Amino acid sequence: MLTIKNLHATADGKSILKGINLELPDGEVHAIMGPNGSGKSTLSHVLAGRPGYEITEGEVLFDGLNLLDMAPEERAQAGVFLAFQYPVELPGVSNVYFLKAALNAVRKYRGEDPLDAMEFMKLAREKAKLVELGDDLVKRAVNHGFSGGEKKRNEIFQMAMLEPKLCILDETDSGLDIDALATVSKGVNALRDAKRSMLVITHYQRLLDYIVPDVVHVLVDGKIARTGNKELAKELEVKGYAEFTGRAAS
Amino acid sequence: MTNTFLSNLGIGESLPHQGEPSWLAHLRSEAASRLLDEGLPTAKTEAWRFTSLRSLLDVPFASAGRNERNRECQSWAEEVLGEDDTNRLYLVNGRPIGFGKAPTDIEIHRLAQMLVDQPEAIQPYLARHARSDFFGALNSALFEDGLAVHVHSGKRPDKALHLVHISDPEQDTPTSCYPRLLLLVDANAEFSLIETYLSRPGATDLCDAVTELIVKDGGKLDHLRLVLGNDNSNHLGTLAVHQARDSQYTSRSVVMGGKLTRLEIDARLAGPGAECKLEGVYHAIGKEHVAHHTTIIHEASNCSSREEYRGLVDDSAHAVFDGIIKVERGTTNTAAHQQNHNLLLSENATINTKPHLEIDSDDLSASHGATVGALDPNQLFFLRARGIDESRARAILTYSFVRSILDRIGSEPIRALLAKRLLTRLPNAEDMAELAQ
Ligand SMILES: Nc1ncnc2c1ncn2[C@@H]1O[C@H](COP(=O)(O)OP(=O)(O)OP(=O)(O)O)[C@@H](O)[C@H]1O
Ligand SMILES: [Mg+2]
Repeated sequence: MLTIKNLHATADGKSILKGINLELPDGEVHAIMGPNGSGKSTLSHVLAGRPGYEITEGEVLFDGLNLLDMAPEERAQAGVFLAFQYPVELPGVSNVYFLKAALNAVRKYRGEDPLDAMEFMKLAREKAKLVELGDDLVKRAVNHGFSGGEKKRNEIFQMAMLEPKLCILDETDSGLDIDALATVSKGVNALRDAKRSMLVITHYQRLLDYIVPDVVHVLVDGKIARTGNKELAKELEVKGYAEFTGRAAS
Repeated sequence: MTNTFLSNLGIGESLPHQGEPSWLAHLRSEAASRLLDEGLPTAKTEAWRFTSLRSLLDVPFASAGRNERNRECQSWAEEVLGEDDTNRLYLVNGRPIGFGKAPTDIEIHRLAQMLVDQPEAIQPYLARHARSDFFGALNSALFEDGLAVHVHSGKRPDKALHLVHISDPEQDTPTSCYPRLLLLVDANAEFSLIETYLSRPGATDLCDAVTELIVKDGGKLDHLRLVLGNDNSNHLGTLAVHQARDSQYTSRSVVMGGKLTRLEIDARLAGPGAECKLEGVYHAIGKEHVAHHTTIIHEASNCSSREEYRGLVDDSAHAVFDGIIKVERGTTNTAAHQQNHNLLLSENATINTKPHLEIDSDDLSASHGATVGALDPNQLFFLRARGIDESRARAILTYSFVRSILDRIGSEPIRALLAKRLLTRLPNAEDMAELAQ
């Protein structure tokens, strides 16, 4: 699904990613953990094509496509989905319009006909249920005035609608209360399938109790410092990152 | 130079408005002498610092005469506007071309006829409130016709009156016209007025329009003013509203198209408890110039005014917002709020914004603010990361910047018309009509 080879990236002259290698096979879920500022969001941004980063070395293959050569919208159409750590508010743009435009762009790329209003609403209702997003939120302006937790749920709702091949979740658990965490995780798990892979960025073991990863990577200072199975996350929960950063856990 | 401009228009000659009462003849000659004395405003005139009239100076305008194309003009305008839920009245070069079905509860008269038949009915109002700055004075000196509308006290006609103005320049002669409207909304009446200014393709045209609105005690007026011009059209609009006790007035100005558009809007809150809202949306592209100059004067206590203009400026276009709210001495319990927000869509576009308050009272809540910004890169990326093309993402954000005001327009078909027009003027957005729903 996804192969990252020796990826180096800088922003504003600052070197952030310093040689990342990662192989994410079809159907697997990999967790990425790591201290604040280690480059987790940067990696997710670079994969999604956010402007402002310079790729100085390396390459990324996504289903055989050279991901770094594609515009952000092409990547999304081809099946890359980034659930934002900080979802963006779009006052004046209704969720319904936004999602319909997005879905029909993705469908067009896949060679499918656009959905009409009825079909779209039916699908939206079904998927909104998955993350228990109320009808009023579906109709409101995108994330405008949404609570932190509602924004995160809205991200997963969008993901469910667009049915991407590669889901990158950047701290989807932050800001969620205990019940919402269970709901959102259930939504994510419902999307797990043999043809869909996920990169789950999180600080907390708790999320990984719900979304059980096949592999856990520890990202430190722009490089993958260690790779293990789900037990690695439990170990980090106890020991922190001292071993990697040279600083003692407080 | 100036005098050539004025004499081309017929200022300085004896004026051929026969049968008019002497007070009007006096008013006209006063206006003409002011024009000759003061001349055309230049960049040195503070209020004209950002709007150059140079492109008009050398143009040998001729006042539009009657032509034989009324029917043609009307069908053209019908085509442009589509259908709506209003009561329409068409005017070509400022002259009404037929009254259709007369709405109940209001009287509509041709201004030219009124000046002959019952001049005393309009004498107390005509040219009492409109500014007599250059274009106001020019209209006063030269207008030949227009409308006088009276909404009787306590009446609430259910349909809006939609005045569709069509400037119809000759193909080879630059043409000017001087539409004029006098509207009296009597005590406790409620009325909805739409003025649309369209220009047919042709030689350069200059539309110098004056609208005078009087809202009596407890009256309510909802006013929408659309300027939908073309690359050859110049629109100079003077709008004045005089508000009595407990009256409510809302002005929405939408400018989407026209080489030069300048609106001078004056609201006078003369009676206690009056409420005034001035709102507007402008979209300037190519080399268009759009200027709004607004003045709200709080003369009485317990009045509130709220002002919000939002602009989109692209290419090498230029937009100006110059708004002033004056709160006079001795007034109490005033609320005055003013906002102007602009989206700068190109490096070559220019925006001059100058919101200000002049306050001579300490019993009030007041605020003013202006912003000029570019599209937010985070929002742009968010849309693209969901698969939406960059040009569409831009169109979505551009439209959503102004939609809060467009959505307040009461008539659904007119909202749709404006959304469509805006989307057609944005790159690659013609087929995005659903965005407005
Ligand atoms: N545009 C930029 N210019 C300069 N530095 C940047 C830029 N973007 C990110 N950085 C820096 O790069 C480092 C990595 O940031 P990033 O957001 O990827 O960390 P993170 O691992 O997601 O952290 P957190 O766990 O706090 O979310 C940080 O030190 C950050 O300040
Ligand atoms: Mg982060």
